[in-house]
Amino acid sequence: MLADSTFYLCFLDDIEQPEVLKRLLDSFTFLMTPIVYNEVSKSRNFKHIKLNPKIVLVRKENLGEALRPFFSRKEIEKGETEVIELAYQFYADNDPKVFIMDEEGPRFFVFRNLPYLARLMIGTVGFLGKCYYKYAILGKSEASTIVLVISKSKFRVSAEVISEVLSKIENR
Amino acid sequence: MSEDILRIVEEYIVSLLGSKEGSCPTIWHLQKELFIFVKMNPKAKELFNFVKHYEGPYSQIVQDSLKEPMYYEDAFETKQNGEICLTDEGKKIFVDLRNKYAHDEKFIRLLHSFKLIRDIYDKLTKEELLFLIYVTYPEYVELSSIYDRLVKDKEKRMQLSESLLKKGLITADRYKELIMLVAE
Repeated sequence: MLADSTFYLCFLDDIEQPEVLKRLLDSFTFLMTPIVYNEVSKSRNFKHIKLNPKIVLVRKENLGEALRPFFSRKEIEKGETEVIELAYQFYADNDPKVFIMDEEGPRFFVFRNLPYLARLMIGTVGFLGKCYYKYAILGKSEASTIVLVISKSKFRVSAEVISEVLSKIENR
Repeated sequence: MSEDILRIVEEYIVSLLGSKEGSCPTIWHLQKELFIFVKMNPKAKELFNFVKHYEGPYSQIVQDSLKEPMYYEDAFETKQNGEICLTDEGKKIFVDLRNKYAHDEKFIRLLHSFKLIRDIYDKLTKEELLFLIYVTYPEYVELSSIYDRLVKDKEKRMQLSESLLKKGLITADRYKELIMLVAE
């Protein structure tokens, strides 16, 4: 599993529920790229996951360089180019990994230019939904509650996505 | 220049061209795609020795290898429209290379990197390509004969940024960044 910094910071800062992230880490190993680590480590709640063995730091220099001309500095600082390039490498190695990415611009870039990666891409809220109905990590009401808390936080996600995921949770 | 180095550079060119179906749009694309590869893999920096030039980063050895290959003489050709592709002979060489290095992780990664680069950079026009290279790697602006026309000229810069956004090749945030640079 791969994710940009927005995913981790959603739980650590936006909703301040690091325990939810820790639950997810119990079930999945997350590969963390250098820029993402740098961004997430600035969170005051980073201590909750800092030593978690399920977070594996990927030490690869110049990751994301091929995509740098196409993304803004802010997007690069969130780790978007690193995560997409790493997801591409795993895909090309026949070891596809799901990657979590929320920003609209980078997501659109993937759909448009690397469509074979699009089926591996998911947003934070969509992933939480699946943590109930696909992976059975979260209970039904628990998943709905977290999604609702996220919808009221400063985490940027559209009302349509919230509604769609809540509906999927409700109907499974 | 040692024969070994020339052979390796020509093998890189064959591999770049073979990594994806279809031709590489222009010699500028091939040069800049190898430049991006070096940015991803700095260990290859000395092999290609990209320098500032009047049309962006430029490698003399790549140019020479394309125009007058010493080792794989009939591997690639430039079509009348400027596209560069492998010849039938070149395709055989590519298959031989792929078989020879089938278990070499570095070679497999190299092909993957080339495919990623070509999947995206082949979609750019020559002007879009040079524009993005200049704004991303300003250290290569010096000696440029076209920087002023592509980047400093506000109208042209707006036009290229809009074209890139419409094609989905840059994000909306990157577009804003490029436009703001125009206003500076």
